[in-house]
Amino acid sequence: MAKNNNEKQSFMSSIKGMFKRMFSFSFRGNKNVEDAVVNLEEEEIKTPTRVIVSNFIHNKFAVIGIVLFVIMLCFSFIGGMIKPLDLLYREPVMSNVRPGDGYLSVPSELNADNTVKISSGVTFSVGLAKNGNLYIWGVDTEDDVLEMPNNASSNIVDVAAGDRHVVALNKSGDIIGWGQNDFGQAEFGYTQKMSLEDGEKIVKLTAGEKYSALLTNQGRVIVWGATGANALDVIPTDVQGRVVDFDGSSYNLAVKLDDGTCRILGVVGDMTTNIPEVLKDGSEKVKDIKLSYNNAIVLSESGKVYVWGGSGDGMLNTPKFKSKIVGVEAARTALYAYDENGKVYAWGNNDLGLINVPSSAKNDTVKMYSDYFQTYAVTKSDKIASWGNDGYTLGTDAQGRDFLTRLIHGGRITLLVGVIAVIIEMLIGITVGMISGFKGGKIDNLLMRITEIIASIPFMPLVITLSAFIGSSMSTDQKMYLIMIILGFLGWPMMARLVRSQILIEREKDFVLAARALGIKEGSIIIRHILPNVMNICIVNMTLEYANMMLMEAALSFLGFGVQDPTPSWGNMLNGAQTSTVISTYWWQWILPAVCVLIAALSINLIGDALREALDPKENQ
Amino acid sequence: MIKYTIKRILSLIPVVFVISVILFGLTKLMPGDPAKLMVQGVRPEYYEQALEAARADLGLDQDIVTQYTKWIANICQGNLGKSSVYGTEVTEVIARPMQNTIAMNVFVLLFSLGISIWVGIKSAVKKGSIFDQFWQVFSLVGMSVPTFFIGLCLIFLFGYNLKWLPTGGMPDTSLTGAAYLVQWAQHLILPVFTLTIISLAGTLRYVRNAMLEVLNQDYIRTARSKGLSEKVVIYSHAFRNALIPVVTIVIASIGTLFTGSMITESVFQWNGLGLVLLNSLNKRDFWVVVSMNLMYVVIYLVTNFIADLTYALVDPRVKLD
Repeated sequence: MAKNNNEKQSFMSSIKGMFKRMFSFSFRGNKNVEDAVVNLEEEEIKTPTRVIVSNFIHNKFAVIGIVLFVIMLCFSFIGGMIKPLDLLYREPVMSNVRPGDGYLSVPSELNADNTVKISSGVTFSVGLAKNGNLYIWGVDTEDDVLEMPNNASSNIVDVAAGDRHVVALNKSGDIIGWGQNDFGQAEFGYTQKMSLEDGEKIVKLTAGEKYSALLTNQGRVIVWGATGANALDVIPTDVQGRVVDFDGSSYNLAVKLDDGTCRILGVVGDMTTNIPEVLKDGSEKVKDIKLSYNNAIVLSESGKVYVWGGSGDGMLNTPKFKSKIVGVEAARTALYAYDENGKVYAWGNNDLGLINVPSSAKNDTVKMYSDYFQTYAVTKSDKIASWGNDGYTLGTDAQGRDFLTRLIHGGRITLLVGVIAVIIEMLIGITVGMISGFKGGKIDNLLMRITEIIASIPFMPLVITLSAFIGSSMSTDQKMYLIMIILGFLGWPMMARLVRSQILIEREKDFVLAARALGIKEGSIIIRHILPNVMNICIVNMTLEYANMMLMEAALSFLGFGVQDPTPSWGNMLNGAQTSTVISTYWWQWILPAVCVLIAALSINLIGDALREALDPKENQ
Repeated sequence: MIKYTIKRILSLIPVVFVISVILFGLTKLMPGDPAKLMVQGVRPEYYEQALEAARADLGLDQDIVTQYTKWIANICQGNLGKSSVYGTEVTEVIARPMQNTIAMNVFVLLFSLGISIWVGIKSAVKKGSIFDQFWQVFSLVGMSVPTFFIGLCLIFLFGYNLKWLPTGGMPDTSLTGAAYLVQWAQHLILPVFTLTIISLAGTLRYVRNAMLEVLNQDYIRTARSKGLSEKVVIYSHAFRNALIPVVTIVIASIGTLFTGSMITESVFQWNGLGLVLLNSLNKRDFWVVVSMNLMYVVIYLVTNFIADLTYALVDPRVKLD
């Protein structure tokens, strides 16, 4: 119609305009007049249902809406089948990880031949090549751990990665650190330097959660960083000076002493107290010791494997080895051993695929490196195989849970809560509206008074009040059902009024009178003649209400009065998003779920709008 | 008209009564005895005595009907009860936040109405134009976007990235005069903007539809056929009639002046009524919650009633009965 705006309103153009208005049902009505005339011929042979369907399909907004909605449905429901959700899963060390993957993508410069050491943090790994070059890969953290300082890229002799920081030792004996430095763990400061004696040389580094440690040629261990909770900076006097090797985990440090025994320092637990007797009294000499989060694994000189510590995740279920074990390794929640033939044994927790040893490494391994959730195996065929956690496409939340999985399952809850709330709302609304409309009189009066009571209460405050009062002693699941019911039970007045007024209009129409004159029964008139005309408006409103209910659920859960954690919903995933750090730094934690709600609500609104136009072309004139 | 007014006022009474009973019943549904909470820490030998005293103090020793009538009589005298968290009268707790909420919503109402009347009329007159399409899409997106998302986006953009405006909270009360006003305005910009977008999405469509309906009327065709200029037709004939339904939504939205928006106030930590309600719910301060809900209901009922009356006043065709 924009084209016609400038033209004078001649007789012809007004006729054209009339035709266009009458027969072009498209939303914008921008088609040529010729098209409209062709439409005229086509429309004539269509039944009303077909007209509605064709109007709907020819509305580009409707198509966009349907496509978006189907995408959201597939994302939530088909995605949910592919990525199951473990409600109780938590991994605090992986909290607030940025979106991205490639944790396991070893750079091509590193190969089996020249790799000296690989050490991993939560989202990255560093690899040291024989020529002293250092490589780092994975996903960056807020502390820019991937931005390796220039002086660290070459002439390095040892490297160790903590959870979010790296320390490296160069040829001249200096320690270079970068990444998170909240506790000074990435900085080898003056005090630490002073505690080294003259001529004492650093030979090895290790790092754990927010701390770093070094081992000197005099058998001394120096720990710096966050040592308040684990008291690692106080090395027992009977240990200090006798250490020949060590390995750090989150809160513990395992040391191998010069007499072949081992000790575990740090936070006291099963791991520190349950050291096997044979290892304590020196009857079995320790060859190698590695620590996982809760367990220690030792390979003795005689080739025996000892595992102790927490019994969770089947960590103590050491498999039967068929030949001599030549090495052991420990990830955060899995243990490994490999034998002289290159066969790898893996056991422990498999949430992040730590024990899914790839076939290329299964029978071919000569050396392994593992930390946190990344495992690397150097194979005989000159390759570095890697497995474990390759990253999180959409990052993680504050509790270290994969955001994508929670987004998928959150969608299921949000979409479902909305549907059920709308169904409840419609059932009550249509029933009340129908009874009111048909019966009239006192019943109508009473029902409309009740409707008025419910409609007169501000929706959001009451929903929240009810949710808080009734749901105060409910379980997570019960609360979810409560939300559906509250939303449904408070939303129906508008629907009831609409149905009632529509029935009052319809029942006065001529076709009803005609039906009555023909002697058709009252019930049949209601069901076959009046209801179909009322249903149209119900369907349109149901669609629009669905979008509304979804937004309501999201808002309720956002405020903490809706679906409760650990059950995810798009709203409650945003519940933690009210702190400044989340808004400014962990953007994916609030943008993604909010955009999902937006797309879902928008798609439904588009469909609802298009439906309204398709069902009632008059309104579009 | 007078008969109708009296009838309507009388019909409000049972509505308020039923809602007050429901709200009163809700507080009784809550687990935990408020009297026991009051006597926590009292030595065992005095415990029974203290509990009795507390029960008498709270009126819990009487039967439920007496408790209700006492409560409702107090409310009618403007005594909304005591906040268990602040230990002061509920009226005191909500006085200051109510001013804040009203201040914020006055701006929202002004902006959203001003923009929606201007845009709504222009869209309806130039139906199908780029202008109309833009605002149609805007209102569709505005209706689908969660309020908190707009708020968080604004905080992210203007608060953290550009650092132009505060990310939330209230102005510093130690300031006085112009400095306070400037800071107050700075704190108000983002929440007002958020609420305006949300409210625009709805009112825009309403005004546009009202205008479209009027433009389809016979008297507009008559006016055009008389040869009146398009300007006169639109502003003198159409616009004034389209205002009739608009006036009703203006009156009805006065109710929202007082209720505030819990989401926006929570996102921006604006100390308004919505935030007070949220905090009271979190701290289980029942009387504040119940009084506020009751207050909301009364405000809504009254504004709805006034809206109906004005509708009849501005449109003589509407007959009240």
